[in-house]
Amino acid sequence: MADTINAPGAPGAPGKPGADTNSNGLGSPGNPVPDDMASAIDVKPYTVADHDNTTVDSGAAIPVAVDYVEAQLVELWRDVAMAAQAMGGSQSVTTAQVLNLVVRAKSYKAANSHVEAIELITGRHPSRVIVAATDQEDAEMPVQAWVSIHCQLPPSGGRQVCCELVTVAAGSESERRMAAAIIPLLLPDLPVFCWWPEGDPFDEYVFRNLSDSLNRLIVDSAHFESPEGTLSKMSTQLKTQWPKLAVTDINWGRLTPWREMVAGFFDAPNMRPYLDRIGHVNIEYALTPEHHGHVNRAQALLLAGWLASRLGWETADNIYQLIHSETSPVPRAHLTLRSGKRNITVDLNAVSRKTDTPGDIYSIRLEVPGAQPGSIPAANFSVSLTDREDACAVMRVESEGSSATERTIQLQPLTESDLLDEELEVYSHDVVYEDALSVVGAFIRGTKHTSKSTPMSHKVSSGEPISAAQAQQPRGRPQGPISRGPGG
Amino acid sequence: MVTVLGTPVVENPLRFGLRMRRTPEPCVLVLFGITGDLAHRKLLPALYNLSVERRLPGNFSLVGVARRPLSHEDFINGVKESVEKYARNKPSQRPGVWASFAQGLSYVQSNFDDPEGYKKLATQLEQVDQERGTLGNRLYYLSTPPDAYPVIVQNLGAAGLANTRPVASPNGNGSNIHQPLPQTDTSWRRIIVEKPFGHDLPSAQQLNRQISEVFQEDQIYRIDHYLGKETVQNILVFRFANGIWEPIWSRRYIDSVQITVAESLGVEDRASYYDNAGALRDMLQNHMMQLLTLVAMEPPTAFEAQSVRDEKAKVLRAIKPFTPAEVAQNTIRGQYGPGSIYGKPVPGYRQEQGVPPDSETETYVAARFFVDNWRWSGVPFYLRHGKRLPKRDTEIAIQFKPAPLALFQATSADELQPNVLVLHIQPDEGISIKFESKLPGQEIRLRSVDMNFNYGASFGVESSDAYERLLSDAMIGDSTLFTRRDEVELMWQLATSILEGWKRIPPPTFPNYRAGSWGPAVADDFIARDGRTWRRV
Repeated sequence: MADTINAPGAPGAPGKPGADTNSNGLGSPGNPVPDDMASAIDVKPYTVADHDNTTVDSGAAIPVAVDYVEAQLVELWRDVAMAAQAMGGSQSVTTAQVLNLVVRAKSYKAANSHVEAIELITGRHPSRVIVAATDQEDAEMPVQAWVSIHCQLPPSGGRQVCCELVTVAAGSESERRMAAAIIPLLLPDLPVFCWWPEGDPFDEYVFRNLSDSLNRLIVDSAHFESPEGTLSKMSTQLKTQWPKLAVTDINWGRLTPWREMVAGFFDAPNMRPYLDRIGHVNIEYALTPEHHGHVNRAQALLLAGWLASRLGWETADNIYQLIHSETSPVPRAHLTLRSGKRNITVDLNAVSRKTDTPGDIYSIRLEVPGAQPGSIPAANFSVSLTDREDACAVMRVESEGSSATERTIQLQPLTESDLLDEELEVYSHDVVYEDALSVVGAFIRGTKHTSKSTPMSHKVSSGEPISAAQAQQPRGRPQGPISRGPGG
Repeated sequence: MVTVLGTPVVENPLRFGLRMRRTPEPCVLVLFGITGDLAHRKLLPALYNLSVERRLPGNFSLVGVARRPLSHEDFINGVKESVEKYARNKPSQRPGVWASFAQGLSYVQSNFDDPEGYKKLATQLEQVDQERGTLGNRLYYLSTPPDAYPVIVQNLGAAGLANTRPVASPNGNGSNIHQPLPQTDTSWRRIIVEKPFGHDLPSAQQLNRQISEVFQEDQIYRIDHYLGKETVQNILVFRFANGIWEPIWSRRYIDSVQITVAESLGVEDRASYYDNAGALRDMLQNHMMQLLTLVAMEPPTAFEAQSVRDEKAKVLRAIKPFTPAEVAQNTIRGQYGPGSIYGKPVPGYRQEQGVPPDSETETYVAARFFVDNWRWSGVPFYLRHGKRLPKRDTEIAIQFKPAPLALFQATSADELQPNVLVLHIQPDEGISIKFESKLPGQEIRLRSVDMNFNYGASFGVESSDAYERLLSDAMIGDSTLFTRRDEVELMWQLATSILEGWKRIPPPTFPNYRAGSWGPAVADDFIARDGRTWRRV
């Protein structure tokens, strides 16, 4: 590319993002910067136009030659500082950045929605954000870049916090060269996070070519095309191919409140012995009407995998069965595990319910059977969402010989921003997740079908095949030491 | 509830790796003075927030104690009203959640000196243990006027409410390790004491004695809500998570330290308390001395209660109390007269409602301390605090020694500014460093630039509430952020030496500074004698 800087709207500006500028202005539906969040000073909203032409905005991001991004950012910072001075601000704009965040978007439309989520957390994670977007229309489009700086005014009315946004886009044919444009743009000596909101990254050029530069990969198994297949693949391939890469799953974050609630039953020392007597676990997960036919058991499996790994339950061959019944369109997943001489059965049932994310947990119930005299009495521990629309759950303990206790607690649904926010706090491997994932892999590889017909929902595929040359690329080179943030 | 079992206790394996701080064990909070202002504005909202955000155990229970006769309904409604008004999370948003919280609330009406009341309380607590499975764990909170502390503590002891077999306090880093103690009672009793903790050294010692007749030191949690502030905890992170400061953090490179707590407010509605206390007792003796210890302390061996507090106490021990003659040289007091704040006229202290017109109470105090140890010998620590100063600002400024040689002739030596590192605490948390830089141009002319890291601008979030942090720490058994007996007594020893000295020297003519100014002129002279000036904050 020519090493010229294109002013917004100047002749010769690349014709894609922001080129079809109109004056919809702030507040148009789908604008990523809500009015109340927008800074009073020079906001340069993200303006990559999506191709159905519904979100086009004024104040286009500045198209820039890929090798000129840094210089352009310096200019933008100067603009922001001058605007701040013009507003009479006494303090200089601080350019503190704590991390790099690479975001994969399969389209401009997706890019816009991911950037919306990121803007909400700019305050806690001032970062350089690099969106790797695919131009769906022009497969031949070479790698191009756009830059802008976003300033976010905290809702409470503090100072604005700014984050740098670079969009690197390419047509599907040029995607393999995208990583080469991204790597030099990473801020030195700060950790690199990669958020992969859609699908499975492991066979994509962008990920494979970037993987050596990444510290932490954040996937979302709620949006895997074949969740069980990919989870199983992750449980084995991550260890062998990318041992240094810390991987986590947004879906695992969705389980955090559930794990806390379940753990909460056993915080009192006198309740802990029950953990050694659990005989049956029943997990219900949501089968969202609009996702009908696309069963996603990822959360339910990870929750079961977590219990099994923390409590030392052993898996065996053929422990995972899909049991069909007349009453439900979705087969019940049934697992049998062992702990010493004790058998533990786990059922994963689909229930029809409207949720934001496919496969959200609806309830969990741990059952402790009554046993020999002198031992602990039978008890059940359950957490279940209420059916009301008030975002609450009921925690219930029933035990033999005493009355049941019940407690209603708030369970605010976590937005994608909340979840991403949490994942960005941690730089290192999440051992608890990795343990749970290993067990889930073991569950799935032991799959055994008991019904006559092949279940429609359970297909194990491994995504697109990769070439032998790709497969031989060296991966997982050790990363340098990572500096930790305050309190990290 | 499930029966208690005589099985060895182990750590909850499901808690491992959960990112949220561990929740405390089931317990009852017994709140003395529950009808008071602090309880309604701060404590109850903090507890509800903790509960909604799942930082309290499921069967957390609260027993309120106060003199006012209240029906159960009135009590619950009163709590609900305050929570609705002051808490982030509103009961009206989720009635089910409120109902679950309210199930754990009960009220015992009693005078604090009535032994019958404590019998009622004991019965109530046993009932709560039985119904809600709180395992005999109790946290008492004294949110009453301070003259009620001794009688409450005595009565708790007499009623057998203070002493289970004292349990070895779990280590302070929040990882509550349960010793395997089969067949015994592992329940705990703790007590939180609000400030003011005494009004001079003898009264603080007496209060410590009275409490320690009933409670062991590791059961006692003396609150200094300043330590619950995230900004104050950040001082420790800044000093001890960064390697570059430690080598220059000493008398070799540091010229002096200034700690400023400026308030633009007057006494507001606290006149009756404030006129008896004054600026020294209200702010310098506790909060400012705590800031000083955090700046001056040696690195602790671990971030846990005993190590951190050992180091803080050592700093206090290294500051010698003043003789009366030294008091005159090392302290300044002031009182504001009428003036204006932010362009609005305000009355003088003696004209404030509830203040006697001839009051001799100080609303401004400045002091110079020396920490006599190897690290700090000869480095003055200047502390100043005043009400009705031009703006609200709390900061710690560390001034470094100037460069030894004036190398750049075009700039005269007195234009050369020393480097200053400022830890900003309120209202804008952050860190700034002032250093010299070249002005653009052919000649070498120097100009100071301020490199400012603003916490709020870099992390645009609100920090958490101090009371939420401290309440949950006390329930978990982490006393790092609470003041230990020796610290309290050492701080009072210093403050009392000043109070004694002030009694002997004739008081300055009050008022001696105008509301909206930076304090009395004598304070400027005071620091000018050392060849220094107060920082303009």
